Amino acid sequence: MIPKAFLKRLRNLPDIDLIEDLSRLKVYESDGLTALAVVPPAVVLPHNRIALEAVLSLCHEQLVPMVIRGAGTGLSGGATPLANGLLISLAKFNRILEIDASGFKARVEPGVTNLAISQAVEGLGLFYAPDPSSQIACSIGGNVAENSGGVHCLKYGLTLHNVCGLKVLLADGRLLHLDDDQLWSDGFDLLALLHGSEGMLGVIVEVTVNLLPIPDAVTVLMAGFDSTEAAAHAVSAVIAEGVLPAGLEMMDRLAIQAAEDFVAAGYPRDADALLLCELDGALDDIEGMVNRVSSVLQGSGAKSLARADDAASRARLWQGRKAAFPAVGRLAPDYYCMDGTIPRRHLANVLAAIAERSTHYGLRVANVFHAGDGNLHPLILYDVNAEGELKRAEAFGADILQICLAHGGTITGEHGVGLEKIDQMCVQFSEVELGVFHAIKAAFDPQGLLNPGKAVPTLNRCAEFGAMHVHHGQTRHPELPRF
Amino acid sequence: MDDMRSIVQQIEAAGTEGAQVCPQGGGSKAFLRSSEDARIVSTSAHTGTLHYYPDELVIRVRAGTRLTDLQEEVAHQGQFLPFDPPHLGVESTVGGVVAAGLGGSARPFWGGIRDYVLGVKVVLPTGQVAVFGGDVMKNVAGYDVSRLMVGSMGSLGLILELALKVLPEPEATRVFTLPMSPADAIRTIQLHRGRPGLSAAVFFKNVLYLRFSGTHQQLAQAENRLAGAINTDSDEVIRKIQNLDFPVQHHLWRWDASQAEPIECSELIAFDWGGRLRWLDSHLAPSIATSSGVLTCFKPGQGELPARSMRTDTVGWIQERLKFALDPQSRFISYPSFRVST
Repeated sequence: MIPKAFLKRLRNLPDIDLIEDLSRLKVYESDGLTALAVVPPAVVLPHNRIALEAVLSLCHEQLVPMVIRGAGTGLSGGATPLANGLLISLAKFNRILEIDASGFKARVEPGVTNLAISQAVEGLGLFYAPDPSSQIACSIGGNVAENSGGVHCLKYGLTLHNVCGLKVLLADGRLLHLDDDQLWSDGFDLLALLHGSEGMLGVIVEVTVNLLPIPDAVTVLMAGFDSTEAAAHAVSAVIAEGVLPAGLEMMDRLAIQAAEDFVAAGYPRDADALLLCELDGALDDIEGMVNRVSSVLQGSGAKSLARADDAASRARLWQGRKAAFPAVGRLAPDYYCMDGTIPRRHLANVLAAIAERSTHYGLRVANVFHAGDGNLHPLILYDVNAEGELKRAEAFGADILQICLAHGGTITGEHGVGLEKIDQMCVQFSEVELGVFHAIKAAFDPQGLLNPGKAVPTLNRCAEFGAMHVHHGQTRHPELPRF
Repeated sequence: MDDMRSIVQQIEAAGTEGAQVCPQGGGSKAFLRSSEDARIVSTSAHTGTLHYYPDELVIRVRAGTRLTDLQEEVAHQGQFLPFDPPHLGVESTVGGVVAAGLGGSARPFWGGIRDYVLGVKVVLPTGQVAVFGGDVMKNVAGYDVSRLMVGSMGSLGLILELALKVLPEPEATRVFTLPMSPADAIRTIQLHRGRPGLSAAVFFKNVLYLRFSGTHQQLAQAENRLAGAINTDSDEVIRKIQNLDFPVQHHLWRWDASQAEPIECSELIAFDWGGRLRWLDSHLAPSIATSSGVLTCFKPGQGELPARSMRTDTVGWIQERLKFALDPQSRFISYPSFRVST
């Protein structure tokens, strides 16, 4: 599927590992979205920047499409291989290049794992704030490509807010250096544009992250509620109080039960909704914050309230949340993790609509929710071996995204579009808006060699898909022929 | 008031008549434009808050809303705009603030405008209306066009609406006044970096002003560390520097450099952002600033202007390609030439 002449020249490049045998290629057939698997014709692991540049320029010259892969933990198929393209793994770019403690910065290669950064600077009293649940494995380059979030976004922001510099190789091999020394420079904010660009605009070869002082004190509060409505109300009340928690997470009954069965975190089994609220700050401040938030939670109808101050008991409370996905995974052979964001005031309506769809499809769903910032992760339970269940799960998932859109939300909060949500892009965006995305892509990568077919659908694809959907009472893309 | 229809009509008419469009809010930052014969399309009648949910920390406003009105509205709910932009005129609008993308004194500590923009509605150079981002904190569908609009200087489209993230206001503010040399000021700032609550570090006329905004406990800690320094709850001097409210003889230059870059020179009027933003008053390009960082002739004064140009690195190259991709017929003004070659 890749020209033989190309492969021959590739084999002659220095400082690369090249994988061509089927058994080893299988390792790379999918990212975290395992339902989509394509065995790539070849995988290359460049050892250094020069070798990577040589691979890129060969692909550019021979017009061979490329997919860039970090740790392969992405959940939307952004790193799913192409049958006719080269998969380039940046796994060997795993060095921390420089730690500048007085400047609160670290310069790292893209293959360094998210957690490794915080571990490397812990002794200096610093940390890197964004912490996606996969932080033990996911790479910082992938975090930038997906603009990853995590449980601490409410206070500390997304990857975008915590990265101050990038070096990016464009498809033609040019180096784009977005300097971290200036907070302002003449020109467009390309640093923001590259975040969440899903490997479509360039290859990230170096990342400079901002570091923060580790807070002196941290406390986690856990509150159980009789209903998700009451818990959602409590979230609003905490924020209205003027406190900005480091993390504010919600779980519904099924997720609570599953987590408790799995890790025995000490969650209240009789609760219909659970809130975990992490507060951090200076030693002098923390007690005041804890008191204010505790009384807000009680005033909002919390049926139980517990607190954890030391690291071990905090970790125990968080463990149930962080293990929620595998915990729910024990309830059924397969689960499908969704990732919509909604304005929080619509939470009760959205959960009711999801419950209704759950009955309709005959599939159970557990809800885990970054409640502070409105990011919902419904986990649809299914059995891939049961006739038609995968199809039903996918249809259910698509319905959930439509429900999020209907409530003024978005189809993806932090997992990205990739291949998974590409059809829903046609619902969220008009042809004019998609045209802007295509124009941006063409400005960076005119030949369309980087990750083609991902993240932004073609108008033809939308016409095919859009025939099924009517948005705001109007048919989308009326200018295109339909089937 | 909703003035969208008229704005779109003006842009369409300009397209038909072959006139180039220059979006404008209150016009307080008109000096940032390179002089061009463009037709002004004003957003100043497109005003008002569309919705504001304090407990979701999100407000959506029309772009012509005055910055002062927006700040007043969120202050009523005990909230604020953490990017706290410069006020370069009372008529300054939210759309203009975002299009110019200028950060206030809190920029290094609380982030810039781009860190708080959640969504935009824009009129593209084609006259078509498009919506990007949304009203939610987490949103990774499509490229981040909302943030691309921040600081694009009206060259990629006209901003109609903005969704912004707001935060709870700090409990209190204190400003410490420390007379010293510029070099000592840089060393002092370095000592306080990363301290909770530090929200501005500005130097003017041989005085360093350190502003702390936070909880009463944080301010008490700052007071202990800075025992003996005069302190007040007014940040008037900091705001004067942030708002460029100081006399300039010649041209006003901005030099964006790393904090470590030496700072002593006769042209220096003030510095902000803990030393990373330096304001210089000079007729010619100040020689000290030619060694590193980015030097721009920011606000021209009287007399001959130095030759200014676009940047010519890969960033400049991509920028030109982006502008061409989104506005192939140059219906909107180009990004201004700021840079003075060094």
